[in-house]
Order: sequence, then C-alpha cells, then structure tokens
Amino acid sequence: MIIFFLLFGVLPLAAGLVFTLLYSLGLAGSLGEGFTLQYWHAALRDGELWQSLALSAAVSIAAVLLSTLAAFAVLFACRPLLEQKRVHYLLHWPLAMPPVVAAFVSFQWLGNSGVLSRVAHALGWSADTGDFPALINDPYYLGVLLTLLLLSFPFFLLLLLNHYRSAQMGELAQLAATLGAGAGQIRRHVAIPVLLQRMRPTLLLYFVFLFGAFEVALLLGRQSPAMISVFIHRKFNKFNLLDLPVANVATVVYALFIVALIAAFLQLARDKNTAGT
Amino acid sequence: MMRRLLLALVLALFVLPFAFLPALSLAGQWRYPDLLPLEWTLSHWMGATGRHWATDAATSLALALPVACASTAAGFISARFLAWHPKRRLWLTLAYFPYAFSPVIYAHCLKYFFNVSQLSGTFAGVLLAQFILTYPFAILLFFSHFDRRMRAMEDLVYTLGGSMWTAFRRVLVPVSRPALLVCFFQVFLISWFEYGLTSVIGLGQVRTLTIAVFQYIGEANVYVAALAACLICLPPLALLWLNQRYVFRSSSWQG
Repeated sequence: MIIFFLLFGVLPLAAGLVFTLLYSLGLAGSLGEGFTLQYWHAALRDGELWQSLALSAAVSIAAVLLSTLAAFAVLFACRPLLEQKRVHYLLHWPLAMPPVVAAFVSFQWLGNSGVLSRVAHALGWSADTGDFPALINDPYYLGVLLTLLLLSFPFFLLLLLNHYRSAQMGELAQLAATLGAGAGQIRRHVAIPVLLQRMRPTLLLYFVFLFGAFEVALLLGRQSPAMISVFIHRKFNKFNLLDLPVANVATVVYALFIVALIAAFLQLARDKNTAGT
Repeated sequence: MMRRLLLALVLALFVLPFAFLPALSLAGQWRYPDLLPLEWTLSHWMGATGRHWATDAATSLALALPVACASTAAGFISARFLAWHPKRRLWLTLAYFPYAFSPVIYAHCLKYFFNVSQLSGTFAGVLLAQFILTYPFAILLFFSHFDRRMRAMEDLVYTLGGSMWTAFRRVLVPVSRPALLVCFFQVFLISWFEYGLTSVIGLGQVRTLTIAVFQYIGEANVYVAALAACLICLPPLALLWLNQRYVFRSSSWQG
C-alpha cells in the first residue's frame, strides 16, 4: 500500500516538479537545448512574477486577517444565538458554495450594473452605472478580497464555535470572572489567546489555499498584476513558446513557497499537539 | 436587539446568494436598474440549453462518484498502513503537498505526462487527475482516525485468530462507517466543485458544470450560468440537509 501511495500520492507531483525544474533549466521540453540559467535570470528579473507573489500574499493575508476579525466579532456578539440549532444549520450554507459560484455571485452583485449598484440607484445614491465604484477587475483587488471573505468568514466562524466548545471556554471564562476579570479582560486575556492558539495551524493552511486561489482571481481580478495561480496559468496557456520557461520558473518558485509554508504548518501543528498533551 | 440585527445581517449574507441564483436562472429579462426581473420564465431550464445542463450535470456526477468511491477506499486502506508505519511523519508530510498545491498549477505540472499518454482532453484523463488530487486528501482525513484504539481493536482480531481481511471487513470498516461517509462526501464535493485541474487536463472537452459556468459567463449568458451554478450548489445543500437530518446526528466523528 505504501508503493500505491508513492505511485499515486507522491510520484505525480514529484515527477511534475522535476520536469518543471528541468524545463526551467533548459534540460527538457520543446526549448531544451542544454543547461542554461537564462530563463531563471529572465523570470527573476521580471517584475511581474514578484508582483504576483506579493499580490497573492497580500490578498490572502488580508482575507485571513479580516475573516478572523469578523468571526471573532460575531462570535463574541452573538454566541448564544449561534448555538441555536436552526442558526447553526444556516451557518453551514456558505460551505456549499464553491469558489466558481462565489465568484459568479460577486460578479453579479459587485459589478457596475450589479445588484448593489441597482440598490444604490434605487436609493438615489447613484444616477448611472458609472457612479458606482469599480469592484470588479479593480486595481485594489477589492472584489477578489470581498469574495474570498465571503468564502472564508463562515468557515472561520464555525471553526471558532467548535474551538470555543472544545476548549471549554465557558468554564474558563467563569473561572476568570470569579477571579475578578471583566468581560473585556476575559475576551482579551483568555478567549482570544486560547482560540488563536488553537486556530493557528488552520489559519496558516487557509492562507496557503487562498495564496493559490484561482477561480475567484481569474473572474474578478485584473490581467496584470494577477494572482500567482492566474499568472502561471496564463503563462502556460500563451501562444508564445518563450513564455513557457517563465511559467516553469514561476511554478518552481511557487512550489518552494508552498514547501516552506507546509513545513511551518506541520511545525505549528506539532507545537499545538505538544501543548495539548 | 443589536445582536439579533447583526446575526440577521450575517445570515442574510450567507443565505441570499442561494435565493439570488435561482431567481436569476428564472429571470426572462433582468437589466439595470431593475431591482427585480421584469418577467419570469422556465425557458432556461426547459429549452435547448436544458439538454446541455443535463449533460454537464451527468458528466460532473460521472466524475465525482467514482472519484469519491476510489479515493475514499484507497485513502482508507492507505492511511491504515501509513499511520502505523515507523515513518508516519514523513508520509504525513508528503501527503500534505498535493493537498496544499493549487490544483490548476498542479494540473500544469502533470499536463506533459497526460499529453504524452494521450489522456489530455479525455474523460479518463480527468478522472485519473482528480483521483491523484483527492487521494492524498482522503489519506489526511483518515490519518488521525487510525489511532491507538483502532490499533488495539485490530490487534484483538489477530489475537482471536482473524486475518487482516477479517479485521478490515468485520472491525475496521464497520467502526469507521461515519468517517468513511464524511470522507466520501468531502471528496465528492471536491470533485464536484473542481474547475482548474479539470479545465487544464480536460482541455475544455470534458464539460462539467463548473466549466459550463465559466463558459456561459464568457458568452455573457448569465441566466444559464446561474442555472448551472444552482445545480452545482444543489448536491452540497442536499448533503448538508441529510447530514443535519440523519447521518451524523449521533456521530461523534468530526473529521
């Protein structure tokens, strides 16, 4: 069974990455004419790759941070209500929405002639589609960020609720209150540190997923700079063969980034387990 | 009062997209600045496009069901061996990489091999690619499931003279039924929701519902795109309802 795992779980990615690396070094593929570092020089000097990486990091950090903040705010404000069976059931609904559909919904809501623009028009806040701020393909990636928030916030809220229960936060809060802590102190010094400690590995893993977000960025983002998965996808799909080595270099750089993040995630998960035992 | 208002806003945000999509798919004409459609119609569901969405949904289903079955079965058996192996940490680390990799970039890494083996643009190719994507995820789901308690139960079977086959058939599978169901549903949804890998390996020739949504958006046919989006959301909502209603009510397995 270990051979089966190596064959179907490890080998495909490993072989793909080795081929990608060889291609980027001129040792494989249609442009392979012997070892060269020219593609690496060209790709690393190309500002677009770094812009894409920085943009992906910024958008995913912002989405994780804002979702976590929103989830904490709603948890503290509405926790008893969130425990109600029907409410708890409805909280799961957004998990049934894949990124493709979320991107489409945002496309229909946030666009210049979208639902929000129509509401603004009905309220007399805008006279025409041009008055509504551009939230699709906008330079600040607000449409992408809002959609990623729509996808991650419900997940974080449910996760926090689960951790709240499993950490027996009610009892901890009661204990802190008997020692004289106020509601604000309990939140700041007990609930937030304990819950954040438990959420850290998931937050990092979610950051990794958002970093490679594709569908939302493809539909709602800009052509340039694009998020890294869109950047790599476009480079691979261009008719210009000279773009292929750049796409391969970008893939290797992305893979290195993922390796580092997964190593950090496993370390965090190990620390969490050690702290738990 | 403020708390209830905040919660109502949050729930509205969560639920409104699921009301909006059917409304858009049933709209005959819904142009700016109308807040509601001018007319309602079933034509998108019943007309010529109706045959397309039925085929797209059938393709999605024909991919998701075998992928979910194969990944769940292979992931369950693999996790049993990997979780109790001396090098379990290494296997766990290796299983995380394909899971964390962006599926579309993963697909580009695999594309050369699929081209060479003439699997690109074929149903079998997309099926294999989705299995390669979801199999490590299934292993991760089951990895912590095979704990000391499971080990003790399996050892007890051997002590009583049972074989490994008996252990799987009579003990491991029956006690893992909730975990197997959760894994099956999750892998089914990953396959059902998949876009990037399917578009790269399928070359647009294997038309699933997610591929159809993007295609309809590209054609500015938002009504039919909404229809396809409704169909994508339908199985997960049904599973959610089933989950709430029947399956895991008494289960303690959290996945």
